Amino acid sequence: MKKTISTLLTFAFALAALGTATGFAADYPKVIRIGQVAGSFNKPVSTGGMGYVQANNLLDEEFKKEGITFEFVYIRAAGPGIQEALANKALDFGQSGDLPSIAGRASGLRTRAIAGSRGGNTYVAVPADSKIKTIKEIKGKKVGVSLGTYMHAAMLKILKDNGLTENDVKLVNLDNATVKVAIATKDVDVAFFGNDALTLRNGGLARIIGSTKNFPVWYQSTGELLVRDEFAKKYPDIVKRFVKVFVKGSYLASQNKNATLKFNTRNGSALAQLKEDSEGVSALYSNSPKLDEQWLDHTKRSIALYKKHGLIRRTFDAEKEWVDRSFLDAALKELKLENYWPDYDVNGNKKKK
Amino acid sequence: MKLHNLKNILLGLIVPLLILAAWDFVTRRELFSPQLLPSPKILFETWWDMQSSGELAINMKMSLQRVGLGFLLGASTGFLLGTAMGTWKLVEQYLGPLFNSIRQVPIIAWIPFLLLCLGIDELFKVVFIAIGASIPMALKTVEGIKGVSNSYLEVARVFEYGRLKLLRTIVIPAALPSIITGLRLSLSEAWMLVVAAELVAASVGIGNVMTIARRLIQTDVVLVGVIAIAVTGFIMDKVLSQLEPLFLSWRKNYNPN
Repeated sequence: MKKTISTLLTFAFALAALGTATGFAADYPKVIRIGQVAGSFNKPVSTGGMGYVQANNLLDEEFKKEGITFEFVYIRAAGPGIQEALANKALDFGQSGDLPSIAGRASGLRTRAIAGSRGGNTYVAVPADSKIKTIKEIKGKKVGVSLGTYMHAAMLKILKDNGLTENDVKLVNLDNATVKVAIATKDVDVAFFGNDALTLRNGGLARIIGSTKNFPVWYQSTGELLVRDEFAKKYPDIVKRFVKVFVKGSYLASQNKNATLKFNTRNGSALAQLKEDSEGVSALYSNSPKLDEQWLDHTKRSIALYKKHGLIRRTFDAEKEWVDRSFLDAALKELKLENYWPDYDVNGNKKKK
Repeated sequence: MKLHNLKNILLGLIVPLLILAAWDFVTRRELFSPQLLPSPKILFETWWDMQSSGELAINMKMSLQRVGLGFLLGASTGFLLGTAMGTWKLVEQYLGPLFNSIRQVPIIAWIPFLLLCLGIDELFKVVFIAIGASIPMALKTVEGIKGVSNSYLEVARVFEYGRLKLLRTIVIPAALPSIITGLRLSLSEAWMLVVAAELVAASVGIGNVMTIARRLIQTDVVLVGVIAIAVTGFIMDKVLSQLEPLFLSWRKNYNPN
């Protein structure tokens, strides 16, 4: 009996030694998780560049040889939930709007911004029969918003423009799906939320009294593709190829605006809503992954604004301590797309070269 | 007596201090990500910031108001209900089964219904807290009254006391230890529930501060909230327990410690 055990042990050690020597399973993670904000329809699909990546299985194709499984995780707690999941290593990559990403980084969460996004609108909606007509009138009213998201950030800017602060309204924290219901059932007097507001209005349930479209481009949101710093250090090659695949997806999304909008309805959004939301904006602009002047200036301004409002307590240097363009630059070069997307300035205008 | 108290305080501090030391050790080694578990030092700095800016005071005051109102309403309802059920057989027969089934419902499960009926404002919070606070109070009052020694009641019978006099002079004083335990349980329940209520919806209050902080990955603020609640709750419980000797000094075998 004793002999059998020792033989078995020897065998096990030999196997383990062989395993380490040949390095199998040690070089690559088996599963890589990508955090995505769950939309208001809770359909587990992505849109835009990442949507094309997902629909065409571009990641599986790229990493077929390594046998890595990619999981898209849809998080109802939106951007803030994605930061939390990055902090406890439940995610490796994540996409979120600027307030959650910045709040995460400012709290010391070690992420790198490896690709950008821009142009998220926020709408101010009231129930259809509400007496409220202007934003100034929402003083003292019950306001629904998903706290800590880009819509919260847009709310700060819009309120400030109307001489109000967060303390002038009664804030109610609601997730993306609930905020819609709350307006329809009149549980809140006002709600700040995404372009679903347009569909709600088209259905006769809400009236829109303002949106970031009426303000300078800087009132809209930017966002970023994040990777955990630790992951990027351990697997720089995977991150490089991941970004390459994302750029491919963004390229597909940038080609034809109508086709992309139609594609984006896969998450349950209405086409009319997406069309109105993106009026006057090209697919090239909406789907550019670049970390250009617009992204950087916007991020710097946001950091200062959030600090002033106490949403973050420490600031950081976005250029030195956060953004990492090396993966994106390599990808654009490899795919010969260096000049495909223009650089934009903070007002969303193409920069002259 | 004084020395005895001091010893108790010191003994009570040992475990928290050990936890603090372990916590400091763990964070120095960064065994957990600092976003998930900030160090005691950072926590202290955050507390100081929140304290000196008045943020903590404003929010604690609001939460205390809610606790106070909910507790008063809940504990007094619970006391009346408990006294009625403990004294009159008929009331117990009519209300007992209903009360016992209602108290099986986790208080949190009331939230959706209360939100529908009362909206998301103060009324909802106070009623929600009051429901939770009334249950331990009613239970403990019934228990106390039923536990009144028969010999006391016989004495009352000999002297031919009326119902009210019996209640006032014998039943309630004899049931007081249990009633005061009910008060303490009821108060701690109220504290737990104010946080739950503020997580649902609020613009001021310590629970609300904690919700926003969680969304902005400010774990230190969340933990300061936890500690502020624990300390305030502890102090309030201490104050209540100081009431005990005032009412219970008539008992020969009463020993405050």
